Amino acid sequence: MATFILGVLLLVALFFAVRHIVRNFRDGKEDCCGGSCPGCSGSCKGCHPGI
Amino acid sequence: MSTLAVALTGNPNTGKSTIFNELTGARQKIGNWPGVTVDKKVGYTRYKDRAISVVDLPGTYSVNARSPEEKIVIDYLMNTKLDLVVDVVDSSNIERNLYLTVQLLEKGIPLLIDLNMQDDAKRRGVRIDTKKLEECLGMPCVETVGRSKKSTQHLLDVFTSTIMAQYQPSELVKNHIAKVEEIEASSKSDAEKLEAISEARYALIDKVMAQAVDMGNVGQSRSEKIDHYLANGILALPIFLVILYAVFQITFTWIGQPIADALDELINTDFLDFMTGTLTDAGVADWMVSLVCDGIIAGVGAVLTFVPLIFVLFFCLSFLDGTGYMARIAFIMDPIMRRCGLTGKGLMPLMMGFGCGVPAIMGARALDSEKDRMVSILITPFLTCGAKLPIMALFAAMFFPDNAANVVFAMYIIGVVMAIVVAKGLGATMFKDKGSTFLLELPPYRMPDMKSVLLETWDKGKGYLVKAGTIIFAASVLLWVMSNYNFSGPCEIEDSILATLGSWMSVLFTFQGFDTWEAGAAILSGIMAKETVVATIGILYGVADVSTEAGDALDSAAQMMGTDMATAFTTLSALAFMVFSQLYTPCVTALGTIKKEAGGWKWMIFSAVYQFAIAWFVALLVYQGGRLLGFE
Repeated sequence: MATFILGVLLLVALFFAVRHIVRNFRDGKEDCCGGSCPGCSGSCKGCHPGI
Repeated sequence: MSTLAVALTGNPNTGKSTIFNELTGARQKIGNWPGVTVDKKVGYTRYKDRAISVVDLPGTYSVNARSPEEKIVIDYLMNTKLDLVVDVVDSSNIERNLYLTVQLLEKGIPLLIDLNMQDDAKRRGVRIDTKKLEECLGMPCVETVGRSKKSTQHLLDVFTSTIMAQYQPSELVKNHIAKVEEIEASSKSDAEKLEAISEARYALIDKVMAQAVDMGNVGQSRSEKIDHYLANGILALPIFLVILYAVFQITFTWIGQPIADALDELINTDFLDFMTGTLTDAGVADWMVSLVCDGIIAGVGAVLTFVPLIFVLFFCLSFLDGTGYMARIAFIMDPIMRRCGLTGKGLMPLMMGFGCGVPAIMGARALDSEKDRMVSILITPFLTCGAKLPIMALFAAMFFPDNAANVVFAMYIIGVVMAIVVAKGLGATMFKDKGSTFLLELPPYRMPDMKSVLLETWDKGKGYLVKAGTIIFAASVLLWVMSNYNFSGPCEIEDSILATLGSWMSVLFTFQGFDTWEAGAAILSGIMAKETVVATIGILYGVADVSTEAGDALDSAAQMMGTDMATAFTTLSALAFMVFSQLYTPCVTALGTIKKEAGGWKWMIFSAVYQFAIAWFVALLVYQGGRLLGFE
């Protein structure tokens, strides 16, 4: 039972993680904008509307 | 009531971003690099029941539409219905700033002139008669000090009470516009027209200055005094290297590493033990315990361990940026950049590459010539981005424990040197054209606003945390599955899918000294995201297998990864692996950005292949050269 519950929790977490990744690719976002990008707040789109 | 549409324009580094930030509360970087804003940025605020939208346009010195920034500004101002166009002027450099003001007035754009940085101007003895200036130009003027609530309040008052339609250019400006039109209609050559128009503009500025501005006895400013040493022809480069070296010491020796060690102990020992015990006691199946502990905690934990280093490094860089020193670096490096066929301006987007290649590649848009843009795009991925940092930190701490900071510093230098060499090569072969001009304004030195520095550090580091929780988490699960299964079902790790793929990859590295399937798998996974290299190593060398007594301060980050890793690499092959990781194919996101910015698949594939080839060759040189010299 414990394995099943943990498995479900992991699947849900995995679903959200993969969804985030897919959305990033689709929208041209990049989480790690660790450059000196103006207003870098986890999405390049904030500073670069063109992408 | 309709939304009040306001656009901020002006020369670079006049405090536009600061004003924008104060007005809208948006998290825009308050940088000191001229040309920091590449694209427009919009923010919203509300004042006295009036909705106000504010657009921060790129800083520009002219509106001739020669560079992408100039084109953005003039296209936007000419084709958008705006209630107010605010020309933000650095009061302490008003004469030079008025050149853009005059050009905008020539285009028939009514301006609210914001005489910003009043504090700097007063300190330097510059006195501006605002009323007289309004009379001279026929446009309203307002005095502000960028980072001040009082100024922001005042600006909002002016925004909501000024009706630009009530203002007309003064006779002085009208006469100037007529003169410019006369020159443009003349039969002179384009170059002669340009020169004549430029002279007319300066003549107008001289008249305005004579009537409205008292430059006083402007002596040498504090910044000029500091620059006497920091931007000095002989001392500048050594001082720059010392500062850079200090940043690395702070990050990897003094502050960042001790915190990383403590976090590593917490995650990879305490938390791991706790989770293993809890899950086992709860009756969770062994394979699930392995997935959680050997897969997820090992993979995500390996990446999280480096969060303190990332934050400390970004804090140092943001702090330096805030002081105004970063612009000096472009100035200092200009002669070197010119030798590579680039200019100091090309250094600015490249500097972003030390954080992340994606914005750095996009930042190349700000460069004026096609050659500069393409070369910049193609060399950016050689630099050590934040995602490569954990790879360097891990290997340096493990194989060079006494010189970890120096070795990581050397990797940064290798990245820079390789970028310079390749830039020179590309400039001499594929992108031959004339040299570019480079106009750089050195901003005054300032004590950075700590709130902005911390905010910027958080903004940059946050992306790393999000990645750990998403792509690294997903990759860790995938890697665990691939390392525990093959197409027949559960298996030993040596027979797994990952081992098979890693073995295929490792064939390529026979002469580089790291031809193990684990290294091959790590390299392969790094193309997805560079952080995944460390996550893969964490999983394959089994953090969970390490004795909990092994945790000794600095050694932890690396030594906790397990003794298998220590035997898989020699010092020399570890160095070759670091060099390869530093230089090889960028991650898929960076590749996608190259495709977009360089204009096609051709350049993306070229970038992926030529970087891999260069990395392979340099790693070969390091390993075989090291062996010839007697190293192991």
